[in-house]
Amino acid sequence: MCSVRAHRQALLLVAALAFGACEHPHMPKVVAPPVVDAGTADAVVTPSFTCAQAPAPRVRRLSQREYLNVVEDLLGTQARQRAATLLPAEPNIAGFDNQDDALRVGSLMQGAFAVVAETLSREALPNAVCELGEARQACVDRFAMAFAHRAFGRAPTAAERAALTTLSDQADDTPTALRLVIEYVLQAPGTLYSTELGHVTPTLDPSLLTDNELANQIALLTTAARPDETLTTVASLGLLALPEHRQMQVERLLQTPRGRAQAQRLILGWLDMDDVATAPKNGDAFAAYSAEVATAMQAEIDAFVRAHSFGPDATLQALFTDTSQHIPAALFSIYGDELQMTEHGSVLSPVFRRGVLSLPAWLTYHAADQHSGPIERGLLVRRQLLCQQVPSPPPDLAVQIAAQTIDATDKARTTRQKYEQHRSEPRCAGCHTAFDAIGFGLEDMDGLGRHRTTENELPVDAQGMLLDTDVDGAFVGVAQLSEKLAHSRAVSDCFVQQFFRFAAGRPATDADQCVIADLQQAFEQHGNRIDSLFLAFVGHASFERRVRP
Amino acid sequence: MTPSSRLFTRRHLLKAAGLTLTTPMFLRRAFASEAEAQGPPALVLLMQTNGTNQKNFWPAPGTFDSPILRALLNDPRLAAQTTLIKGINYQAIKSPSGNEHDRGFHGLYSGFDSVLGPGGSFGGGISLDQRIANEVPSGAGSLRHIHCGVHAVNYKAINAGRISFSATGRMQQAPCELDIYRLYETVFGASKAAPPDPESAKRRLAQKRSILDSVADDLRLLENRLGPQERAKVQLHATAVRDFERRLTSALPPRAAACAKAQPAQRGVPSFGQGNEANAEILCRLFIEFIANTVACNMVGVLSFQFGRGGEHFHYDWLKIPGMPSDAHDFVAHQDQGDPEIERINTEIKKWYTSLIADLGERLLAFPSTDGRTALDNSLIVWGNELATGPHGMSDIPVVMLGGARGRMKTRGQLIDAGPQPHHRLGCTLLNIMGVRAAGFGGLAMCGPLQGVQIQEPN
Repeated sequence: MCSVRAHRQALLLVAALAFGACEHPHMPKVVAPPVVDAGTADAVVTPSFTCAQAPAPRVRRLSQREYLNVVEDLLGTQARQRAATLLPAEPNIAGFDNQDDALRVGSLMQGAFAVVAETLSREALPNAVCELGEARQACVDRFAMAFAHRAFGRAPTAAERAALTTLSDQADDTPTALRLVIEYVLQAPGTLYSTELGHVTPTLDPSLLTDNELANQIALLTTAARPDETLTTVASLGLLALPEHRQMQVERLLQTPRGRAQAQRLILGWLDMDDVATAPKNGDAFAAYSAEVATAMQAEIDAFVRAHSFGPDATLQALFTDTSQHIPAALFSIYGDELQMTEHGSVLSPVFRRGVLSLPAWLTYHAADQHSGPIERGLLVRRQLLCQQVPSPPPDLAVQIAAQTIDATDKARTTRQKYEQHRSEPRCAGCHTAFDAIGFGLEDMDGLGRHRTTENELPVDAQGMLLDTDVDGAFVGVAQLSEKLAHSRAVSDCFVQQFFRFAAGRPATDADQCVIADLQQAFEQHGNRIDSLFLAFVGHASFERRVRP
Repeated sequence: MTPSSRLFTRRHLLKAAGLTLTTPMFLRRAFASEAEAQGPPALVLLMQTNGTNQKNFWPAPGTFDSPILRALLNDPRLAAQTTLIKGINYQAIKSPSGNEHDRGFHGLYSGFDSVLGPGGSFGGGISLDQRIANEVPSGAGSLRHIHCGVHAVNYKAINAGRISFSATGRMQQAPCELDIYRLYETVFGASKAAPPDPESAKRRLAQKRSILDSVADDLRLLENRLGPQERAKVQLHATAVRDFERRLTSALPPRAAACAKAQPAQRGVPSFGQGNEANAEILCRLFIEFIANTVACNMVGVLSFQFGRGGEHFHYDWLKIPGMPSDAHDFVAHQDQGDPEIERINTEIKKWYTSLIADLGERLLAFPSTDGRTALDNSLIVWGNELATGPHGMSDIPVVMLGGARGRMKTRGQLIDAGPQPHHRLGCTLLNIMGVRAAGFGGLAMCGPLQGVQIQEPN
């Protein structure tokens, strides 16, 4: 570690001497890299990976979140907000918004990018681009190259430089020239895509990603944006070919606000969570639900996840077992007697609540609009947390199931009693037992995440059962389920699979499985620290190699 | 339930509608000037979910009328343009993923089995709308493709694949545009901008073309470095860029001037979001109006639209049907197995869809062309369904075709029942109508076209 630290400090010193100062907050000038403390570097290790597999070369479109971050870095927050209003919604695939399969540019999307480019070039032109006495052409060229470099995460190619020059030459004045540059760059493939192709004339198979490609992969993974100045500098020095340097950059970037947000996005995506406020709730069934309550739920889960996304204490187990520390006042009525008022504020009793699954936000989002949704909750645990595929019913049984619908408004039975009919049918029970039994174990929490012992004036039965897992057995309530899941290797292995989907922006293929096995091993070695996965991913040889199919 | 939920009744809509919901006179003039165009017909693919009531959908023998289709078939002008195709059965090729909702939703307009992906079942291959957009040139100044729908709901999706049936390839879900106002801006916005002086306009157009040329050049260079699979996504983008540039540079002043007035009858309706289902009815009406305007103005090559997501859970509160249960998916569609009360309610729901299709047909009939045809003669509306029946039945999927497809649809004004046919034949027939010679569709390369449907293939 000492030699790595010394190397890093020398690198930063060299970089600091090599570059000038920033002039404008949104101008893409290269600036002196901030000298950052990369932490204790405890996690900066290169585990003994055994897998030699590498994915195929590809080009990956930036997600809207990534694109908007690039826009913000280029033109500021207002430009980002404006662009966000002009882009159509794109699919969010099982929690993640960056899945390349769903990010194609058809007619409408192309039109939207063109409109964003035209609008922002008109509305968000930076002030004071040219320096006093600077010749027009020199100013425009300097701006164009720097702007494109920042947008592309690399220097413009010869063809791109020629395009920038051609466009700016068409303008009669400097502002128009700058606008045309912005308009092109904001819809250029260089901005919209990130390549993983390796060197143009590969001499090796597998080929190695270029320094810029490595920097861009790191930046997109950790900040959902293009490389910052420090990462760009490190890339330009060729140091990203070394796993430990990639890991140092990841460790640094994860501590930035965008890095924290990215780790948070990973966890919320793993939980398949979108905005709590979008959860439909029937007003008759849940009169206590309001916009204020939804906002408070969101704030609580955001704070909880943020606190569990980075550092030695931010482990998968902690996500499942810690108790929420920051309870917004609007949730006092949700928690009720579970809250104890102390001199330090309100403290949540851990008797019924453990971990992120016990937060009202998760329990509200993953519930039905009129009841607690035990089937949906159970399915989510199976699919998203255990990565188990639940088979579809055969056609004849599907028709039978379709005919056996359940009246959510029936007040004569508990939700569990209504849905237990699935298990009374032998052909249904085979599958439903696997997930119903999980969802039934969460019946101590209603559709707003309120603890309950009765429903419709009948006693609630929150006895659940885990089957076909490595932590099989009975449990009662969300707290006990969380304790079980916290100690499941299957759950931690599944988390790694979900991480891979998030990090790669695509589902894993068969060829990826041995990479995932290496990551799972590294995850375990590091006590299931969330940030260790980011480090292991970039430290793996597959991160820098591509093999042509 | 959200505080932002708004309820717009049909009365509100009609009050606010003005010209566009009655007889869009300005578009009559607009279409007349475009009638000579003899390219492929505009194709509209509509996807309904949860099947129908078979007994009340199909006409009784010897008749061309049914309780569900009455709004369409009781108007002689629309009935003459309507083709009902009975016997289309969903036919799996291997082992499709998901339940029947998934299979039909992804399969009907793609011919591929649904496949398992993260969070649900997805399309197993390119869908018809995307394929036609790729293979069939659209008219000058028009978009190749729009995929849109209404997702304002009170029910959370539990299956990521059911967001959109449009797919650019296996598991490549294409977005479903939900924002009606953004669509109007995209399709009609350019022609509504205040015209600058001619010299400035010319200069600005040249600048935009230069930018698009540069983008296209960049894509070409990128494409050259990619393998076949990766190349496809860049090619799709490149096609969209060329399409966009073509639209910019197409000089169609007569059409542009008239169509500049096309606008939604109602402003400010939230277009999507859970808890916003109260707006689903007005949104469906607005989208029907948009489809009519877009097709009549020849602004699109192929438009696909979905009434909700796969296996939709609309509650249909706006229909105010006596005895309506709390969930139409579970308690009406699934339960429609002979109970007269459920059958009555389901029939009322399905009649509402028919009213929308009839509305679309009437709008298109209102645009005469100089050759005596109408916009409906020159387009083809296909109204399909992911299921045949609510309880997941997959035989006799209700498929209605409306329009003459520029003379290419020869069998109109009748029910065609040539016995059971695989659903792949529907796609094969539509490809042939659009000028793509195909012996099969999706996963069945040699299924042939629909039996009993006569078409005039273009030269």
